[in-house]
Amino acid sequence: MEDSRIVDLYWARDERAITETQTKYSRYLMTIAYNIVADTGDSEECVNDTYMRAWNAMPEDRPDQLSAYLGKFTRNLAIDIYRKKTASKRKDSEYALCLDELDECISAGNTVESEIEGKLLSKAISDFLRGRSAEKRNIFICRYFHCDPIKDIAEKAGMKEVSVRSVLLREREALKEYLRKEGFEV
Amino acid sequence: MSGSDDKNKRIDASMIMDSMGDIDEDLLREADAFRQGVNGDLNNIKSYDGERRRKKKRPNLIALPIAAAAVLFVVVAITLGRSTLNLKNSSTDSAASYDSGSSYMGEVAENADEDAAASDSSYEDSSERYELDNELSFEPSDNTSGTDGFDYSDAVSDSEAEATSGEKEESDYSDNVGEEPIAEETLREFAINLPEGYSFGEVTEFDTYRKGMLILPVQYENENGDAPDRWKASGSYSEIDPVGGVYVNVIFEDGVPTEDSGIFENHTSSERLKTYKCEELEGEWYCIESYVKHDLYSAAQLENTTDKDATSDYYVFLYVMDGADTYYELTLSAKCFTAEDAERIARSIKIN
Repeated sequence: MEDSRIVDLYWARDERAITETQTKYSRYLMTIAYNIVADTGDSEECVNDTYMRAWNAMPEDRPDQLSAYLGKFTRNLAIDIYRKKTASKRKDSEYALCLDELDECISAGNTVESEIEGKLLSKAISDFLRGRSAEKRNIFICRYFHCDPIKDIAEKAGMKEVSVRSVLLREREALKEYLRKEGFEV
Repeated sequence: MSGSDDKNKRIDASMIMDSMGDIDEDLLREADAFRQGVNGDLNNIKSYDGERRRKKKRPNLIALPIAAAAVLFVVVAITLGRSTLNLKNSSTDSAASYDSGSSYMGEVAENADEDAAASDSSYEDSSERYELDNELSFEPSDNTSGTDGFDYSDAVSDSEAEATSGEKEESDYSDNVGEEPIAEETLREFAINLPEGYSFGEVTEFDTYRKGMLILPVQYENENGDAPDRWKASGSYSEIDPVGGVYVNVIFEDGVPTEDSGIFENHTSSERLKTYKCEELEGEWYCIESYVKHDLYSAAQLENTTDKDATSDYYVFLYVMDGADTYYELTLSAKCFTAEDAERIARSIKIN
């Protein structure tokens, strides 16, 4: 079913909206969730909560791109679960690996998260990505939004894993430099 | 953003990841198209393999008992082999020295069962596989037997220094703490000329992407710290998986490693010294030479220590070749070796 039809169902408060969403996007959302929490049960919980969140939010929202809209919900829910469950110990997930990779170039320290407008940082990252080639941009988003394993990204991009790692390394460095120029302390 | 008062705020990796979750949707749409592949089906994405991973983790009820039996057999064989070696060669300490920590011990034990001259044959075997034992004379000396902690050098041919070498063996390996030796794994045959007074430790899995041996003795104290053994030893020799982890980033252009290629480690700074074609190895191998400083302590730990060495410094020689399935790395402590000495040792490397 077309995304617009599914959105119509949400707006009409028709429960088939969830069934159709499930049919079309369950595996896509499970991928995002599993890459972060590395647990099937938790992933299913995230995906089910995504449907619920979409159900509650949809009358106001009218997303153009349903996959991205739902994907963001799933991603945020999964990160919440990841944090709750790994307060004492990091789990072995692609999300954890992504954090390690970013730690390589983005220094930890006394962050001032509460003072930072997350949206400013998001906008800066979006602007940065727009300035990159499509290939680099997609590789970066696959890794750090969807938390896709490098092996899968390499397969999708028709590249060697080592080349994808190289692209990611350079992009992280470029992002660091960009954010620094934009006034962030990294 | 420019000129905003919100600037100059420190950000970290998790904030970047959080903010990635709110990037513009048109960018996600494009990335989704990229991920969909040729058939445009989002469910075609392969990443979700939870069931497969879970199956991998399930114990294999057939293989486990067999593996356990094999391990038991090897342990018994090693024990018997040790006894045989010690009984038959009680006058030569080098047997004990070799016995003490090598991953090649299993082969020694097997040979010992077959050969009446157990210790001799096992040394021959080990010397073939582990050629550096024969080449440990950086500055050749007439008196190489049982002097300064030469565990493996004793295995060359010397059988005179039993007591000395035996004692040394104990003290040397007691330095090799913390990281697990991997008994079932071996390294490729290699040779390096080490100066007198230095020896190799056990084959150890240093990290997910590297295994190798420490060069002993330990040089850096690390009171209250938790630095890896590799950062405290006189050096190390490692085999490195070129695609193993985020830390290995070696890029080639026309077969030559680029300027920013290298191994990246946390709490480590590295200065590239030079890159040169490595004539000592067959093929298009290059050696990337760097001067590396490892932080032995975190800032908090540093406040509670009296150690004078806050960092450990090494000359690092990374041997790489485009398309190779393994890279090699030799590190030599700057505390023990001058740059010239380190380079001379590095140029003695041979790998089969």
